Amino acid sequence: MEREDHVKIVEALKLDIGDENVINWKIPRARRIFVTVKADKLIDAVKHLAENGFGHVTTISGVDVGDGIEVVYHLTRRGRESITLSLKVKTDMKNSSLPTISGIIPGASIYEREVHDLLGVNFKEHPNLAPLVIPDNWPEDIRPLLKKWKVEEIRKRLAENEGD
Amino acid sequence: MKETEFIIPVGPQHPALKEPEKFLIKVDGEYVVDADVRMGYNHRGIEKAMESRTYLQGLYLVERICGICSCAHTTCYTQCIEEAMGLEIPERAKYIRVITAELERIHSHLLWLGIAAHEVGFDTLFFYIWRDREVVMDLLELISGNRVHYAMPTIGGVRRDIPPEKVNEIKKGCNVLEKRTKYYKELILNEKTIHNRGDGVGVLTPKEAVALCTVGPVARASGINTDVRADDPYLVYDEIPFNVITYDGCDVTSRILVRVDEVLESINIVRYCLDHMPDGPIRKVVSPLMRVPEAEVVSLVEAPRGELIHYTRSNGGMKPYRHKVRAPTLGNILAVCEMLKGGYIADVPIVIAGIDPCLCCADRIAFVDVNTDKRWVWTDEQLRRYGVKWYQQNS
Repeated sequence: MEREDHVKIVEALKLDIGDENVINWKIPRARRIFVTVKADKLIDAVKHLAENGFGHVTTISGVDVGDGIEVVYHLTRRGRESITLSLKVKTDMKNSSLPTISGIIPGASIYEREVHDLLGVNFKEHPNLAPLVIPDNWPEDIRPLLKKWKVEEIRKRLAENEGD
Repeated sequence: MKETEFIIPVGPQHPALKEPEKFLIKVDGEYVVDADVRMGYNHRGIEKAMESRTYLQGLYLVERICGICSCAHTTCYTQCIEEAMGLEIPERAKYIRVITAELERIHSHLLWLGIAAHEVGFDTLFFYIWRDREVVMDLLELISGNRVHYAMPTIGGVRRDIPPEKVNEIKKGCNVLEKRTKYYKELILNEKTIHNRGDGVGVLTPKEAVALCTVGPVARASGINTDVRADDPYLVYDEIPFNVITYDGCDVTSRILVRVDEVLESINIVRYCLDHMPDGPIRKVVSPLMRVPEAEVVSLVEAPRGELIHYTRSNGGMKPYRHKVRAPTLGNILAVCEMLKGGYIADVPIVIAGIDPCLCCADRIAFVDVNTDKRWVWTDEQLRRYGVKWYQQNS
């Protein structure tokens, strides 16, 4: 029963942003939905979901998937029987960039800053992408959560920069 | 910036709590015009570190994310990994996890209530509450042997059982806590000191609370009826009767009252669990070098400070491919910047303390006057004293 209305949420999203723009989706258990959409449809998808109750950003995760960075927006429809829908988009490894969703959900801006700090994703038109969790003198090219950066290497680089 | 405005940096050594975080506060005379935040003074790179550790080693690391809500993190982490493994844990273990988590909530809320009293200059109340908090600290030590990192949940269940003689001890402790908390509620409702410093201070409207994705007691004090335990029940919360506490004052007083009432709810949850805990094993044994099948899992828990999320992605190996943690304080940082706007400088400490920030511990506040562009930095004690003195002179 529960799963049926979960499917309906995905169907409604497909109808709004176009079937071909939803790459895949799954409902592993009650109250959890994962949907992957094309990156250029991110804003449309978030708008549709926010209008349909998914207006709470629980957090935004960034994952280095090898050939790109997957950004996961964990959106929650609050209230009893809440549902958390993880909306995934993929961006290139080099010059990774996505439009900001903080215009639709203001609370998202702090999480976008965190993803920018740790994975280097550039959120276009973000109100303030200044460092939030990394130090001011942190080397620009080191994005610590990218798999290519090993902890030892980061340590070595930071030691070289000591005193800057 | 207008000629009449100042910017005052507050932090990284914090005016309210012993954790580093820096607020940049723009002021016009005694009024706060704008606030911005700078964090990361205590960023330890735990998410990166998890990627090079086994799942069991990761358990020890997540427990040390926070010294106050360590059990919330291990509860969230273990259920995340168990779901990825398709592992169902014994019923008794679920109850023991709930008991530990609720005792932790009681200690965390009492700790915060004491701090709130201290921030408004009511140190008598602070000492009384912290004295009574020792009752719940003793109960946590009784069941786990530890005061801070209880190390109760483990992958597959819990580490220690709660035998019948300890059940009685916990019940006795709960009676003391209930009596004292009810007394404090009565006191808070009638005490002028609290109302003078809390009513209408640090207002966050329900609309702002929703837009800024506020979580936990801060959201509930703005009338948002949200609680992961009720909305997305985990462990055995769907079997336990309890109320989600909301107040609609949207101010510091409401944030105090929400937490006082939640302590009473938690006491009842602990009692219910002690009475309804089934017999049986407390854990399923898993290999310390276990592999977790390819999966991605979103795990949510109501920590003392609000919604906590762990998101894990495994690729079939012995270590997580990626493990993301978002603690509730980050969800309330934007809200606190909003609360400060329009208030007095003297209210900055109690408003920041009002979200019960847990940044793993100590910030300064920088001030800039918008009129003269004059800048100065205050430490925690300086600002707190300024606030208490200002109210003595102006009320």
